[in-house]
Amino acid sequence: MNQRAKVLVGSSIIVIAIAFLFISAFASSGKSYSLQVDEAVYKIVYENAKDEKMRIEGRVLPGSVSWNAKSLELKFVMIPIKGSAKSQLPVIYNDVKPDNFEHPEAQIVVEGKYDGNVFKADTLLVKCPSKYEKKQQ
Amino acid sequence: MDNLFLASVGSFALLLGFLLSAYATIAGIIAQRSNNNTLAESVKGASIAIAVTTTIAVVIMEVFLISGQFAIAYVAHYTSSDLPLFYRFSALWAGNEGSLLLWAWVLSLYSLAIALNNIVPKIKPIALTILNINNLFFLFILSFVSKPFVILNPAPVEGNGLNPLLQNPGMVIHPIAVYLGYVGFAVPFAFAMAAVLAKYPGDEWIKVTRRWTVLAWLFLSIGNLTGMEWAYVELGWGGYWAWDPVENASFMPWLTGSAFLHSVMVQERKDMLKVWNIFLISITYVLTLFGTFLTRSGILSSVHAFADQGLGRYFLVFTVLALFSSLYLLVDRLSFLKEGKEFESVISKESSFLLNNLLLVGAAFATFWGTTFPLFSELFTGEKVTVGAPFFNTVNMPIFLAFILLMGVCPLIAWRKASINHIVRNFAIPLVIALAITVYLIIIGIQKPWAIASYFINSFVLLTTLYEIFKGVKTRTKLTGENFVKALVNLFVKNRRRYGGYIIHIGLVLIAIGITGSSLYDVEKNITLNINDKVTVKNYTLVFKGLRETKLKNVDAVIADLDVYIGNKYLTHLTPSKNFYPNEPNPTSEVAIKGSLKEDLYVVLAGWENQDTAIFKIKVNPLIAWIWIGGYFLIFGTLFALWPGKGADSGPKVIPATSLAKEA
Repeated sequence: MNQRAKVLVGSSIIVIAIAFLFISAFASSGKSYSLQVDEAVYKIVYENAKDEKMRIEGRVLPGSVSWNAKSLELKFVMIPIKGSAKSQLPVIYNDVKPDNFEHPEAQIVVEGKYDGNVFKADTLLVKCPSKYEKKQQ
Repeated sequence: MDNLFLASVGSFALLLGFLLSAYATIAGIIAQRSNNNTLAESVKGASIAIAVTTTIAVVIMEVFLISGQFAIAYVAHYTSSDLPLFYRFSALWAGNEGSLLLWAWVLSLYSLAIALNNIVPKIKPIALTILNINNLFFLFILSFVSKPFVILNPAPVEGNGLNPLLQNPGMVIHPIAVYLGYVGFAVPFAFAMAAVLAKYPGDEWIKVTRRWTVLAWLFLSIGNLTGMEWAYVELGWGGYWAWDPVENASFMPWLTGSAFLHSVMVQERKDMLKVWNIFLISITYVLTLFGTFLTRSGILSSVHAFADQGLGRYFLVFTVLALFSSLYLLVDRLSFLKEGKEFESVISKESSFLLNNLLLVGAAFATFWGTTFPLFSELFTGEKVTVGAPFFNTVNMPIFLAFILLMGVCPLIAWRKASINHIVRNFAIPLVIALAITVYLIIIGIQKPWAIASYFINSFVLLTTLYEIFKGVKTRTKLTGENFVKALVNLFVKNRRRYGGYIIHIGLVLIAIGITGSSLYDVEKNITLNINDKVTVKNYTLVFKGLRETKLKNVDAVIADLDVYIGNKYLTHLTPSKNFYPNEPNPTSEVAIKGSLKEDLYVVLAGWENQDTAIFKIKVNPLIAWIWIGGYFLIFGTLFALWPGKGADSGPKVIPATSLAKEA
């Protein structure tokens, strides 16, 4: 075998190794559905999406927040960003309440699973629309 | 002078710049086809004029920002009268229009430098035309899509102020460094394309653009590092990297750019990998455009992107255009890019560079895949599926460890053909010491497999690099009779490219050590404390002493007082706070950090219930300081290799210290 072929074989092995790593990581690491609140509610109600990882965007239903500082438990109801508040998703989050959480315009992103009663969020991010760009007049 | 008048001068300057770029592009193409010298000269004139127009626009914008002319929409959006002068100045790159203006300005200055320089006369005019197409694009955006000089009528009395999160020195450096990096890659890209277009053989385009490439890479590195540090000290979640699309956007061109920097050495030296190099620089440049598209379009949900203003589609079109035209050219001219030499051995420096490239490009591809997966899954299945941080970590961690290992091995492997014996001799001592270090770490309790692998590889690479330097110094003392220190200095100064590279490698090893420690062994505790309550996190005991209110310059702050003890020994006093900025409805957290080389104690005041009860997020992040220290090594090493003068250009042709040792 000449050197060129050897190098080619060597490179192919590396590429295959990387590809294998890539595919196995992709298959095993939790992918999550990126959904709006109404889509998530639809999935939960009609497709019985229990214990499936989801990433949901929405906003907080005003007045629905209950916060227990002692046990660090945040409960609230999430509603779609646009339109009516018909779709409602109860969320529970066991961590500190983020800054800007109760900003009236704040959009939030939760990641977690629906456990049959409530959506258990592992992460809660606040996306404030005024974060970088002020609303254009 | 009247604001309205000045603003129209600014807008007019940009429009003029746009027309001049259009002229320079067309004239450049015609001049090239018809060998018309007068026309070619006029392109040079146009380049000067474009640089002047963008400079005028930038100066006018700065005058508006610094003097606080709130009649200008941009000034009103990003500054306020109580904002410190420094941040008013840097507000130029706090928003969309301003940062695009900055981009166009830098690009026009780079183009000017190329226009006035008489390098590779056969391909330079074509490269200049390619740069002018880029100028044209950015000036088009500034003239018609994202106009910086919009006037508000009536003028507001006060501006909105700069987002408090951006009022941090890191956030001043981060964007400008990323832009300088992004724009910088335009120059080697333009020359690479020009060489292919003109069927100009040889690697001259690499030689003349090497400084540009390294500089762009340096800026991109600084941009990423300052971004990480900013996220760490300002955002208050205790980490520095989240695989967010915007972070990935500047990480991908860094990966491919790093690959390019290495693989061009093979072309310089052996006339190989020509097609690959052109491909790499094209991809790198396209990724910088794609990164801008990601940040400006808001297409992927990111926590820190600019709002969509319809800019995205323009960037998308330009990105796709750049990608396809460069790939088309590459395929079309494939036959002309004949390889000079072939691989002479599997174990050689060139093949180890090839491996380095495969790893870096593999990491870039995985990152690209993970970043854009939501887009493509939605396109093809209708469901938007995101992959989380675990995917990126699982793929990239082994790749990066292999990459670091290679970084230690590669510099010691000879060009053409290396002997196994020689390699074993070089690595025996570092290997034994690294094994001893690893065993020691396992004994003291470092037992996670990834941590063991990482610390073994990192200590081995650090030791081989230091050993290599040590051998070089020893040989030099023998040959020249210099003392150890003098030999060390001379060795470095006379082979700056090589030893600058080693310093960068050491920096990367330190960064990897920091990342391993802080990501695998961080401890976090969220807790609500009443006054005089104690909490123990790892070996730190924190006592909450109460809340107080103060007024700092332009903010009202609520500060928590905490005494920190290790055992019974008083260590320090920490004051995490929440700041209330005027014009901002919500407070921002100011993190308190007690740092050491061993670990950071990181405390966030997350909120409070009443005067005597507050909620804290407390983290201990081991070894995190080494990330920043490694960053300084990286910056210093790059500047050392780049600094003009003797020793800077003698890169690949230099005899490696190991073979010198053999001769001696």
